[in-house]
Amino acid sequence: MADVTTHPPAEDARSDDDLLHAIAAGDERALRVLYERHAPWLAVRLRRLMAASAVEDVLQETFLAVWRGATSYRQTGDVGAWIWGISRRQAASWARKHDRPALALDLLGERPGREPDPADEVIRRNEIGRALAAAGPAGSTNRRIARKALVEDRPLADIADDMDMPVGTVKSRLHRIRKTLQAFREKEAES
Amino acid sequence: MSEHPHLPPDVTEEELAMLDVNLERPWHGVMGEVWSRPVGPVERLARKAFGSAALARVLVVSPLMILAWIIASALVFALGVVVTQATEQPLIPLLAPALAAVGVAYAYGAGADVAFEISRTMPVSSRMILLVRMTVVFAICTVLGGVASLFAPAIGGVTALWLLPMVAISMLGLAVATLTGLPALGGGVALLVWSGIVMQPVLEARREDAAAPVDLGTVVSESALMDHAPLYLAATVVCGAIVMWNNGAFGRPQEDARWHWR
Amino acid sequence: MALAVKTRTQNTNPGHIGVDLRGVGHRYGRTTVLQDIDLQTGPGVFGLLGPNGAGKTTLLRILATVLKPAHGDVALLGRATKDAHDLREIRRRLGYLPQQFGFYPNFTVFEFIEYFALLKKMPPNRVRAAVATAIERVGLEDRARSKMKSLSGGMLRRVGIAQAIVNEPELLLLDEPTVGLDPEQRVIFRTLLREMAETSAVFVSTHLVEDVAAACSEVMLMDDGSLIFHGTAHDLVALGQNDDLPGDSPIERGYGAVLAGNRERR
Repeated sequence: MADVTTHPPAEDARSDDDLLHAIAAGDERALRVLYERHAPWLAVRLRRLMAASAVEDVLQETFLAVWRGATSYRQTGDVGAWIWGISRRQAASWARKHDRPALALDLLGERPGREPDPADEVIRRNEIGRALAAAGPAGSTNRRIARKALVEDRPLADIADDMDMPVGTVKSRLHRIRKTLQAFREKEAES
Repeated sequence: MSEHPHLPPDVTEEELAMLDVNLERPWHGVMGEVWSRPVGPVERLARKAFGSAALARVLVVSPLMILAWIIASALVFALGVVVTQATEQPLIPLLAPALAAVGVAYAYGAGADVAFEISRTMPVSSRMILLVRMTVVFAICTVLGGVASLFAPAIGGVTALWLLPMVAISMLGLAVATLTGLPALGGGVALLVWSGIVMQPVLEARREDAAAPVDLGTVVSESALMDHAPLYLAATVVCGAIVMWNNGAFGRPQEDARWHWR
Repeated sequence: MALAVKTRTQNTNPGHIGVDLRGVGHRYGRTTVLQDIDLQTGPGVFGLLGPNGAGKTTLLRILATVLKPAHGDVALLGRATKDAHDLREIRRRLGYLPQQFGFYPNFTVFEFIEYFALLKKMPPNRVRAAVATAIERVGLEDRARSKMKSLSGGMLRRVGIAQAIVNEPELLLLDEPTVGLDPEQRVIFRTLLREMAETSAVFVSTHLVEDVAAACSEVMLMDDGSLIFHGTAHDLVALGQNDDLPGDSPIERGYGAVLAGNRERR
């Protein structure tokens, strides 16, 4: 019973940036296109961390935030990363509500300054600080990689470039860092 | 989707294929929030007071449904203020019951008319809905009348006792409306009866003394209202029972509608 | 399009889905509009066919608890329709679209459906998502915030369907739902019906025989207040194999044959 769709979502060729501009102007169809493009992979990432129904809740909050916050998007060229940032915040919020502080920790890298509560800021900075400290001593390669990947949320290629290391090496280091952080989280959860 | 050009490097096609998340549900949740208006404080309070989100919504949308009546009443009261100041007859307490009766009949008709058949299949009883709508009419009428009274204080003071005839006459109109299925008739009968009540002492005074000044306010004087209070109360109770019975209370089976709208 | 498999929320009520009418009859004044209706069904989509005045609307109104029949027993969704509590429980799980319904002109599409979702006593925190779902299922996403008075006849009909399905009813009653819908919309509507067939009992009254053939598991033919045929669409088609019968398609011919047969007998 759909009315004539001039932009069937699957065929919409607009770029993510164009879509966000349209969304900021109130275009619901653009939101749908963005949703179809990004919700699946967001769901995969979130599903690694939480149950399916929780993923659904977080996705809802995420795209609601996208709808409401489209005007505040500053052209970074990577809409996916922006949405993932929102998603992470929503997931962390979910984790805090459902008494899973370890998971909230896992979702480090929320860009400070987006959340309006200053008290949260301090707590988060501490969390980030502690986690980075667990990754390696100050100035060490591991800590620097951890900061770039988890705090600054940079893609692998960029980090490899910065550190002047092959992508494969960065990838395996990151893998080991994640394991270290996991152990660290588990210890924190116990205490 | 077979191609996913927007996939980040860490997400594989296999993981997508195995995903057990319902992706339509969050979307509907988003659009539900986008398309709706947030619930206002009045409605939230009403939800707690009534213990029913449905009745709270009925309360909040009622003024919208009877907007025509609200505007008309405001105008009539305004006119009443002007005339009262000119003639010194206490029109406001006389107008209030009449306007309320019309409002109740109108609300009944508007509510019953629109989506009538569908409303009868709802688990929320139509009696409760009617009650909420009536309360809205009385509240608005009281407020409008109160405001009008500020500008046209009646001789002998205005008491809140005119609420009694207001409720009684409205109930009478509603009873007629539900029995006949004709809200307009209900409103008309109520107006007629009220006019009769108002004019009766005037006509009697005239009969005794042809030159007596017309004092429309006899019926709404404090003493008259106190004297007639039991009568008004009795009328309210009886008519209320008729309305309830006709709408299926006291075990009476719901009859088919004897009247059809448009 | 589908992003992922739609998982319908299953109703948790373990009660029986279906209707049970025994000896149901009704009259308006001295005209008998229904006589001796016996009908037992489970879940599925049931088409109600018949000429005007056959009693289809009256039967639907009885099923919708709008009308109490003059005689006979009515049980819906495994409950009797005698006491107020049972009626309330049935009505929570019921959806009804009458042939004509008025609407509040200044309500938006969303507000209208939301109003009835609330009156159906849906849990308030689920209402908005459910209304959005219903709006999308009838294809009115573009008009969700439009005022009802700005809608065409077909769109109004779809709003009517949406309010009927918003609570995912176990008993769905639709009186001429496809009036004003274009062929593409009717196809999508039939898909909607088929989706509901497993978890609900859906009764569709229509004079469009093709609608019935495409979507209904069972067909009932009414004439002059009686149920003169109850079988599958297939059965009806089988009765229409003779090309000499009036009608443009086998099912139309079958329909005509049954009607003619019934009238001869009277």
